[in-house]
Amino acid sequence: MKKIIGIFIVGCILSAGTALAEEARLEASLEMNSVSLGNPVYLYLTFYGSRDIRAPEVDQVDGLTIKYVGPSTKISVVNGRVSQSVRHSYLVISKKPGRYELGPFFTHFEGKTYKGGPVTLTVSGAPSQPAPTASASPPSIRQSPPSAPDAEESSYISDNIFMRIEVPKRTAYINELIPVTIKVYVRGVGLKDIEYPVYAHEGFAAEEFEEPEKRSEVYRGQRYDVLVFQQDISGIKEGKFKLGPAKLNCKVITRRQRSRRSSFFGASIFDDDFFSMGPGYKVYPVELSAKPVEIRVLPFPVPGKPPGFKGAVGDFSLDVNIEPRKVKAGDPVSVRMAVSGLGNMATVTEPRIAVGDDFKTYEPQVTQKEYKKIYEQIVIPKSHKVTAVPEVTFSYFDPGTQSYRTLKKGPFSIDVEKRPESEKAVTMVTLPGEDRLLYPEEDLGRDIVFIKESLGGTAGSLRPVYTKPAFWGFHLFAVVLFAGLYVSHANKRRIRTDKTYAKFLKAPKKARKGISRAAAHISKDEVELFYDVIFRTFQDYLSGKLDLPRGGVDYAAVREKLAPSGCPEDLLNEISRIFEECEMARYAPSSVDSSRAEETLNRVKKAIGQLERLRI
Amino acid sequence: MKKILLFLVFLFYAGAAGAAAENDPGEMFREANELYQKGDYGEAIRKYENILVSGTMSGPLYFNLGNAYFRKGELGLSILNYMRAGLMIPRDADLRANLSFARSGVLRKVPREEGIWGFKPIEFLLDNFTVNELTFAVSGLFILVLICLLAASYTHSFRKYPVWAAVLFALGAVVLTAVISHKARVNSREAVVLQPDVEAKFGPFASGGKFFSLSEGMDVQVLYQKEGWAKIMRSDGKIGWVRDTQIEKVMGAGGA
Repeated sequence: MKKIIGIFIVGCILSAGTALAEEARLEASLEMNSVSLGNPVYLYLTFYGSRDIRAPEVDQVDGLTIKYVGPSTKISVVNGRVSQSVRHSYLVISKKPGRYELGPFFTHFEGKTYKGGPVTLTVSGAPSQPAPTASASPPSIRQSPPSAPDAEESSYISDNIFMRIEVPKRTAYINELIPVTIKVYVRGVGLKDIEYPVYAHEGFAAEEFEEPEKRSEVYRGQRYDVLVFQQDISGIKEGKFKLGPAKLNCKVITRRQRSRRSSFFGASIFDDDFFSMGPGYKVYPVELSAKPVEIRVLPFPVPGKPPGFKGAVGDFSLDVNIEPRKVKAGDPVSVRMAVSGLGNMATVTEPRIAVGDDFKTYEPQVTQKEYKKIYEQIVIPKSHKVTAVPEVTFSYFDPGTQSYRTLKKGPFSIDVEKRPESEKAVTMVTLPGEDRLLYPEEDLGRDIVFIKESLGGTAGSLRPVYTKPAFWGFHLFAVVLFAGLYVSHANKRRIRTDKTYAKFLKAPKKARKGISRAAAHISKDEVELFYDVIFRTFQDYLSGKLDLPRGGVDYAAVREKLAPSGCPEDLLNEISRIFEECEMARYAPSSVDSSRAEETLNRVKKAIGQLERLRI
Repeated sequence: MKKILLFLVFLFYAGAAGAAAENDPGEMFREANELYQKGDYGEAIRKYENILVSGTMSGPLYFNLGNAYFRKGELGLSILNYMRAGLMIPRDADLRANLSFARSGVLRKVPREEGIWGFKPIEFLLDNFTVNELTFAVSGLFILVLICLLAASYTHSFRKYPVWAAVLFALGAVVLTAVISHKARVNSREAVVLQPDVEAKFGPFASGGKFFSLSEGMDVQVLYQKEGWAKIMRSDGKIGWVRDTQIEKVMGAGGA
């Protein structure tokens, strides 16, 4: 109800206030009119007269970056005068010092065009927050820093925060690993919500970024906190390709400068906008960008390419182990070949074994560790004439020496016995869903499983249990029990909460007790007391049954209640007689005796019995 | 006189005890197993069937009877009894192995049509539980629904929890009831071909043309029975008519 009244009042004020609303206008203001280079400042475009105004277009100004942040609205009522406004905030980040004019800005409302501004922002050359360790001026945006041979400069957001891509070399062979490092330099400000960098890398296969690393680094005479992202890439085709530009989204935390503007909102909630982290800090989102790096990917040299070369690039070694060395013809021999070293492990394929027709082979199983790839191959000598597992070779291209290399191991002598005619050759089997060869297949016999020794649980028929009456009887019993418990609980609850109902239910029991007490008085010849008790008992009974106040139980009230519910006239007359007799005994006690009392008692009993049967 | 009377009483009880031992299903089962082990499969079958006639049935009894028929070379009756055992002990690994092995001996193989119940959890319920076990599960869920509703009427502040539980149990009961209904219908229709080569005809008359063939031990669904003929459906969905003496229902004559 309170809410409805509140809404009504606000509605009335708003509708009445429309007539008194202030004149519409657009105002432009800056958080501060002068800032030092690299420090952000808010531009506010406030429209008075309506809250439903879209953000005015703001053109980019050379030397500044302007980003729309969001709107905030306000309604105030002062002396019946309604003031509505919407404030659109823009973050202005300076890239070079100077005096800038922002605006004028335009917006439209009810067919009219409104103008705000222009405003002037002065950006001073010196950064406001030099790092404590800084001994020299940071590089200015206007300077063109000398390019390192292995790095490209980022496009600066400010001198305090920028990003670079570093690669150790500008030419690489196909499949050669190139470590890419993306560094975020930060000085005098904080960062939060840092995302992983993203960059275009067409022509390269890239692995996942490693966990970023934090370190401190001196760059151009200034000490910076550096966040380092590392990733390995490899060229997949010949040609010149660009890495980047790289982008990274994060939020910058800076200390607020003291404002010199006069706040037209005073100390309103508008001063405490949600972009602030606390009273002394400001958080704003930025997108860092790093310039692209060009890399030339070279093809594999044709001269000297070995026949078994399949594209492996790096510097590797080969280790081969054979077991068992003594087998029967048709038994498996495991050849374990481990290729390890530094290089692009993804390009390493299985070493070559020139087994020819002497062996039956299966697909090798591969397991890979960080700098090691292990191939386990099963070879099965077909006859006892085989004396050795042939030579194992592995060819790769070494970009360090810019030449191909072929590693060779073996041949490995083995002792193969002739398999007796009666013995079956071993068949290798795999687990379901796996390709790994696990164990020799056993030829299992087939027959039915032997009889059962125990008769087990017995039944009289195969008929389902739900066809038996006992099953349904049980459920019927459960439902009846549930219904009984529910009704009993509901009744108890009603007795607890409904006093009238409780009185109604208790009335007969109370009456029976009262009648016994009254009867006791007759046997003691206490006629006067009898009438007193029987009258109260009858009165209480009728009060409970007919929901009448005890003091208000008289014949007229009882008749009024009973007559409409179809109570017989005889019973009403009997009730009337009981009332009269009790009245008479109270006012003329000498006129009644024990036999009369006995008669009254029976009359009361009979009347209560009849009323109970009536089911009022 | 007293001694004679006592002797007569002893004779009476000894005779009764002997008769009881003779009709004891456990004892008869052991005797039948001994006959089976001796290789007297015919006599073992007679003993096992006597137990069934006496009104006692169990999964192991049907299993052993299936084994005895298999050893005797009666493939159809063997599969029939394994399937009957499956109604009582569906999760028994030995039974599954024997039924699969016996079925591998059926001469004619036909593909099985995937039904609408080809959903893994439902198939699991159908294959691993008897109709009675599922019925007791529904019964348990029903009792839980009642208990939850009662709990809801007793509590005020946490009423929604028992009500939600009751709704979940009721949903479970509905799903299980649908599964039971399907399984009971399939069980009541299942039959096994008992003769070596049976012709399924286009109509219920001897002069009717042959539609397809059935081999001994193949399981079919009986759709309808009429004047000594049964309309059956093979596992690949083909429907034809056979003499009802050529097949036997897994649930017995009253199955349908």
